Amino acid sequence: MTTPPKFATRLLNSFLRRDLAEEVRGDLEEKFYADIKNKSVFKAKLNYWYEVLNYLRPFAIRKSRLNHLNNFDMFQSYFKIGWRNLMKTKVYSFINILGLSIGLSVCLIILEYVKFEKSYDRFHPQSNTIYRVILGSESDGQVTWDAANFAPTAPALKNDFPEVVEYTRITPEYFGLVLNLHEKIFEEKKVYYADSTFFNFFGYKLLLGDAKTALREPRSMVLSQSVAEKYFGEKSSWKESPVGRLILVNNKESYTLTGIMEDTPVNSHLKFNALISFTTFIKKNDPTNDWGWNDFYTYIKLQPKTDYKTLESKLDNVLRRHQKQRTKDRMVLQSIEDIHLHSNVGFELEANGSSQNVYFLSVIALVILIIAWVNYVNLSTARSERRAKEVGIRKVNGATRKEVMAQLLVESFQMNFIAVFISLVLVQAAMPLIGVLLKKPLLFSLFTDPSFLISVGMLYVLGSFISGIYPAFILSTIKPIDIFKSGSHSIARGKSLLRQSLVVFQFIVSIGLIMGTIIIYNQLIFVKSKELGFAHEQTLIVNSPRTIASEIEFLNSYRQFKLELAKYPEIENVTISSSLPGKSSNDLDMNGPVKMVGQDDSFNKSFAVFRLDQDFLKVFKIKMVAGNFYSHDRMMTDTQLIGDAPDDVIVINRKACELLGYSNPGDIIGKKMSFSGYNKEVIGVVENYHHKSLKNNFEPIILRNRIANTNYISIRLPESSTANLSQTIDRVNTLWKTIYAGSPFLYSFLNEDVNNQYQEEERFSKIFLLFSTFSVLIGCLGLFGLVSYSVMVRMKEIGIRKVLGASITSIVFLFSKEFFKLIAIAFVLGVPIAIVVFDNWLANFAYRAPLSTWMFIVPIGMVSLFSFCSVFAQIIKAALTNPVNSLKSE
Amino acid sequence: MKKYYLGEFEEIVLLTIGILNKEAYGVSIKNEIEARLARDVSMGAMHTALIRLEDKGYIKSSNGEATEERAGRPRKYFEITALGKKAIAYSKSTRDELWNAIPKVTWDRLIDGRHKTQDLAHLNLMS
Repeated sequence: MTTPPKFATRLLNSFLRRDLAEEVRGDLEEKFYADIKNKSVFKAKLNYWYEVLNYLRPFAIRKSRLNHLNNFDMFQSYFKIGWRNLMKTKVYSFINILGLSIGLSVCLIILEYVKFEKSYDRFHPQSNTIYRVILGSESDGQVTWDAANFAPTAPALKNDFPEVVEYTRITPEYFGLVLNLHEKIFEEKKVYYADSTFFNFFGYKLLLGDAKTALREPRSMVLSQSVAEKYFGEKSSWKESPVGRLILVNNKESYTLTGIMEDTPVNSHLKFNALISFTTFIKKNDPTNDWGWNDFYTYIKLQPKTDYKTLESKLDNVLRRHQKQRTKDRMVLQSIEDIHLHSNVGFELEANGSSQNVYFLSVIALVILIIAWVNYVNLSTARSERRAKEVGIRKVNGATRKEVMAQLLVESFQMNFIAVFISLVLVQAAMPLIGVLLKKPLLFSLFTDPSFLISVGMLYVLGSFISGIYPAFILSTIKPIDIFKSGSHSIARGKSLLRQSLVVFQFIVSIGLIMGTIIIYNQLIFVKSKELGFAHEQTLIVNSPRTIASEIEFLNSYRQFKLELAKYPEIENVTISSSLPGKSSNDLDMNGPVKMVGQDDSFNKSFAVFRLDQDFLKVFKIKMVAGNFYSHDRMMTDTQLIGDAPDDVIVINRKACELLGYSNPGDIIGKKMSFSGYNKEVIGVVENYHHKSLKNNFEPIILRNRIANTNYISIRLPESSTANLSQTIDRVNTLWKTIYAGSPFLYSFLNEDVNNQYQEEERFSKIFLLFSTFSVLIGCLGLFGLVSYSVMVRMKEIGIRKVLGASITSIVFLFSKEFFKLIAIAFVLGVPIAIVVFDNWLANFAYRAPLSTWMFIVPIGMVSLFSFCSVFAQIIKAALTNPVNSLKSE
Repeated sequence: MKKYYLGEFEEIVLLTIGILNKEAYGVSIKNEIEARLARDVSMGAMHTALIRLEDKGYIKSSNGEATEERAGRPRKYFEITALGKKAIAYSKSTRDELWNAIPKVTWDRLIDGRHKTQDLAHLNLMS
């Protein structure tokens, strides 16, 4: 049945006089139903609206209680009184406003940060239909997920499922490429091979060149604007488009520059400097039918409104159909919008953010804001005695309770307005600094972003209301008679249960945050100082040359380089390897199947593998547990070293040894193991060391003696030769130029990489420290205000106590006792909460710093100290005052 | 004499209440006016008039029984009071008085269209 338009009815109810309501609504509804019978429903509704609006007449409109004629004057007076109060009690106003504005600023900054973290990969057109297909391999009932897939997966999916509209694949060029372009030579990293669909698929913009064809032909390359500017100078100064120029890559091949693209947006999970057409990759090494080589990041775009879960359930069958060997491989879809915050699988392209940290920070933002509001509530209720007389007079003069509340709310809105204004200024000023601190380009979009303005507005209204309503409620309930008849009011004494619980809450938060900061920093110090099992100080890393045409030449030139370096007295040892401990773990491939000869096929496992020369252990000072490492005595042939012939011996680490079933490493020496189908003799076992960050446990690793495709030359410098470090680098550089002319000399120190493993955690610890400092500061401000007030109120009591012979210490003790009682309660409640919360965070690490007693004692000590400092001066002052002064007045 | 002041629309409403005799309530009054006088009346406007008439004591209201088409809300019926009758009678008599006071010539001139135009033409020429 049709009813009259709801909104019109609600409108009518909102203004219509109560005594008319029944009659009018009855009339209108009767007419409405009559209209429906005689005319159309639309006309009836229209008519209803017309009639409702026609009731907007003076006689029918309800008189609002606040709607007096002097309304405006009253508000003006509220503002004036509010302002006078603000000015009269400058210290409290300052504390209040400072607390509120710091709280708001911190909250806004965190909001902005959270927003940035959540904005990842939303810039792609229809980003909610783009998914990454990731691959899981199952062993021992555990599935290990990797971000990269097989090359034929994407075409097969598009072929099999109509809901897959388009796909694109990328695969990284793991080594940097040396580009010779416009007579300049640089090494470029973050280079990917990408399908020709790339630019239409993603939201990355091509500035010059044709998006459709730029990545079609083999040997096509697209550079980002900032890379292109290294070769051609500022883009604005380009006279002609550089598209079509030839690039000499690694001194070997020539590519065509087919396009210039915008630099990757900062909020992209995939960052690249150059793209090469996928067809180039296929020409070198065709993966298109290889269902075992997973190095291809696969993205698919689905029809809008496709249920991706249904599609996902069919994916495993695709693998079963195409893979010749029966495997337990699995595939799932990841929405591209979720990759940055929610994906934590193997071989991610960039270090991802963590949804947990974002969640943590949002909670902190909220907590800090609440602390600031709590301060306001505490101070206002504590000061209510001062206002009580005013309220009493107002009430005697006929003010209703609602009006008193309105007045106090107006004051709260006034105070909050100033705070919002200050915090906007603060945030505007602090944002670039925060961006530097976090190494995130936070673009503070205050005045351009409507959603931000709305959230500021909402925080303002909400904050004013929350912080104002309780004091307003308390004050407005005061009976005038109580105020005037005696001088004793319970409200102002530090006895209010609510006020005490709010203070306890602040202490809990402070203790929790300090504890959290300590735990986080302690963990970071722990992981950085933990014995990693390899030497990373004084290790100079040089990127191996890219411009050598053949592998045998590479081997020979490396030998020459090493031989020359050995002549320098300040160089202890030199090695070359495809991966380095503590550096990007993407270099470490998982490879298999691995088992001992004679073991059943079901035993097959995947181990991490990397390649090195015989001096690796000497340079990194890794210990042998059993057997021998590769050595000159048992030299491999050159063909074996460059990988043209199979090798017959192998070295593994202790973890691998254990996984192969030998708890005593000595027993495996001399035994044959099967690796990728070849039998090899295990000649040595090295001690476990932390190749990856301490977030991971030890992994089984195979160390092969090969020189092909080795990325890093590591040079061990003696511990003591820090003085002429730059001189050493110069000498290495000079040597480099004579041997590897045409290849840039790029070096770094390993300890930097080792420390960089915990960037995300460090960023988190910084922001955490910053904001916990602020929250403790706000808490102390509140306490300061509260105590100074309660001392002032009890001045007379102190005076009487002194007159009766109380000592200063006993007075100080009397006043501090209350607050320490609260701290004790907060400690008992706060510590377990903090332990539970931060245990969650510590779960990210496989190696955790043990919790010790001092971590609990320090926060409580700090909170006690801070609160004592904010309380002490005032209590002392009060205790030292001559009782005559406090007792003579009134 | 200000005692019995009635506005034009108020008068119409009052008369209609009389016509409807015990069946006068919001919607029926509105419908009656709209039917008889061929003019649109908004409920709001009519309600204003009803309230003023009631304030002046020309009509009185009583709640009727609840009906289904009003979702159980009772109708409010209006009746003319004795004072209302006096007011409307006064209104009528004053009109009649004025009516009767109009001299016959006025009508003679106005009723005959030809005279009127001639006169007007004459007037125009004169001015």
